[in-house]
Amino acid sequence: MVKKLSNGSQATRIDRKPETSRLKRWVALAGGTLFFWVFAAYFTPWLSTIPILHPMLSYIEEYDINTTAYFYTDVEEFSVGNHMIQQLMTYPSKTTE
Amino acid sequence: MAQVNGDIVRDVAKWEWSELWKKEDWWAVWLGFLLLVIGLIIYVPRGPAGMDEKIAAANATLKVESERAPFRTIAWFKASDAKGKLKATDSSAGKTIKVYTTKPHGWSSNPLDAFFMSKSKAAAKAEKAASGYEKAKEKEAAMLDTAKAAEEMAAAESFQNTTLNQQAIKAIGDWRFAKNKTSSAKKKAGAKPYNQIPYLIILMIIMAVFFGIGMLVMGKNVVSFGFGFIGVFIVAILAYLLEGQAGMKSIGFGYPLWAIAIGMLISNTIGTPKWVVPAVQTEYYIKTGLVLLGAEILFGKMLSIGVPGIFVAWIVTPIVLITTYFFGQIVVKMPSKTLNVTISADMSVCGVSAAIATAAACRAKKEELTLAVGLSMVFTSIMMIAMPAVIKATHMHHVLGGAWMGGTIDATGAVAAAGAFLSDTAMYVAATIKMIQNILIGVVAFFVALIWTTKIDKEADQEVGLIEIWFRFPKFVLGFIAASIIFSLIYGAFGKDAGYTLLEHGAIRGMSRIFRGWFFCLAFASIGLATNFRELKSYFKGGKPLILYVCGQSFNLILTLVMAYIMFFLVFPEITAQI
Repeated sequence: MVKKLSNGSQATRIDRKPETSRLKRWVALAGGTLFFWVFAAYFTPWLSTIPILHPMLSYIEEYDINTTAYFYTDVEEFSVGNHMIQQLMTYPSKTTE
Repeated sequence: MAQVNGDIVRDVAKWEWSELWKKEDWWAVWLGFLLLVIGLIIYVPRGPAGMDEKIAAANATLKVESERAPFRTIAWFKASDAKGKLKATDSSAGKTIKVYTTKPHGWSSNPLDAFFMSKSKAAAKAEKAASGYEKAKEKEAAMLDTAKAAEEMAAAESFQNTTLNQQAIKAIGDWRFAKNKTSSAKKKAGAKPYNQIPYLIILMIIMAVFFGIGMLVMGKNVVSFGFGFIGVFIVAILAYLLEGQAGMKSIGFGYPLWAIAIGMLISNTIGTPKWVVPAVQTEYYIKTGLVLLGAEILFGKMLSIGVPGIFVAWIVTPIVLITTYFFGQIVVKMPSKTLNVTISADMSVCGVSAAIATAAACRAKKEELTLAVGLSMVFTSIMMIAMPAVIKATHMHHVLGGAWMGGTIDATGAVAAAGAFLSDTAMYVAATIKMIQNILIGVVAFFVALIWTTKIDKEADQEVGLIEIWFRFPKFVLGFIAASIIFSLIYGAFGKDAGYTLLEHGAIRGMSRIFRGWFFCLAFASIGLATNFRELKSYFKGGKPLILYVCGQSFNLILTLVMAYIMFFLVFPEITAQI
């Protein structure tokens, strides 16, 4: 009996190609590339025209915020925000009497 | 090592000193630390001129102003800004590293703009933005005058008049908002010509040699690896190209998604070319990137926003993670524990980075990581737009709203956008909570690796002693934790101000962050190039990953909101008042 790991399934063979003709495979590649192009050039600009999405998306574009970042060190706004909070906590304003 | 005992074949772990130079895990540690040491050597001695004096002067002003007025004065903000500008990455060495490691630039309609911009085009772009910048500058100056007048009036009454104080706070807030607009306009007006192609080629060669050394010592064919690396690097470049498109940037679809998608498009149509295969080294790139990521996890930042931040980020998050995992096992009946924990960590901690760290720690399948990343990106886009709308519609306090978004939206970039869209206050709180949550991934990765080593990846009747744990434990996780501890200690030794200048805006943002991004991009490109669409589809059977994500995130939204309210409004209202 071979020990089974928690993720179960078998490894993928990266050299496996779909059993379709050479031409069909290249057509599929071209189709996929076209899809990416349409998504980038037409779909995302169209999203900005939807009234409910427009304010947020145009704000992001205007301020050039890196929404795709996935760690705090990737985003300039995090540095600004954390720096400001740090100053607020270290030098809090006096309370009114 | 396999050992046959009767009918059973068992993995028996064994330590050999040669692992130090023969195993990928150790090479990830050596290569990661090599870059970190280079970063420290370059940046620590290159602090801005007069750094200590400038910090001391700014701190003196901050102290005086905080004791003078019941609100943050103009001088207080200017002193804070002066400290914020001190960055080791602004040194000539930092600028050179940036030029050689920059990913393709942003573009909107012409993809060539990502790589090349002529002098005339840059000049035209700068000229177009110049009038906007001038207007923004004028407006900022006018706002500053108004703020000064309002502050003087409040000071004339010794800051005892509440109405005048409120007017001054508003006027200063308006000036800060105008200042942010000027900074953004200045960036656009400063467009310069560039040709990124030669630098990208140089970077590709440097990275191929960098990883090639490890491949050579591990006994792999380094020439094949070098040729293959060109292919993987091109996929990575294409992923960055798509991420940089203005529309993509707005909806938050980043390079991990595109690298996987482009790689899969190639591997599932024409097939991954044979010459590229030797460089499809997902784990090698990911583990090295994770060691670098460790350095960015500074435990000294945990108390940035006091105790409420700890509760929202470090109490709620583990509760949600553990609950979601057991919900996935017991109720949803997830087919794979590694997929379950990867999605649970991705959803509860901080999206892609947590998914990478957790998946690597429990040795999840690449398809499982792909699913977790895809789910995270789609839901991040939705939450980035929906949450500020809900907060606005319900007139929620921006400290509460910021904490809520920081604790629940997966991707840090989306947190910044959603927070900034509401207000500066919401952005400061959201960013700080998210940052504290980011730090948690070190702990999560360590415990997941430990639990998988001792409990899950073992036979039912097998005893796992301390020495066995050492044999089986993924060694790159030790590098990841060690990098975090060492950099946290250095940060602590420098102090917050010098740590910000020399470490955070030096060795971390000027070295670790840059290469970590590239390495993860190469890893995701490799995942795509090695993933079969049909196999990926099988992991989504019954929509179980989606159900798990939606249920876990719903619980996360409720618990985070409740905890943020209790902490910021019932237990520590004085902290909220300061923000």
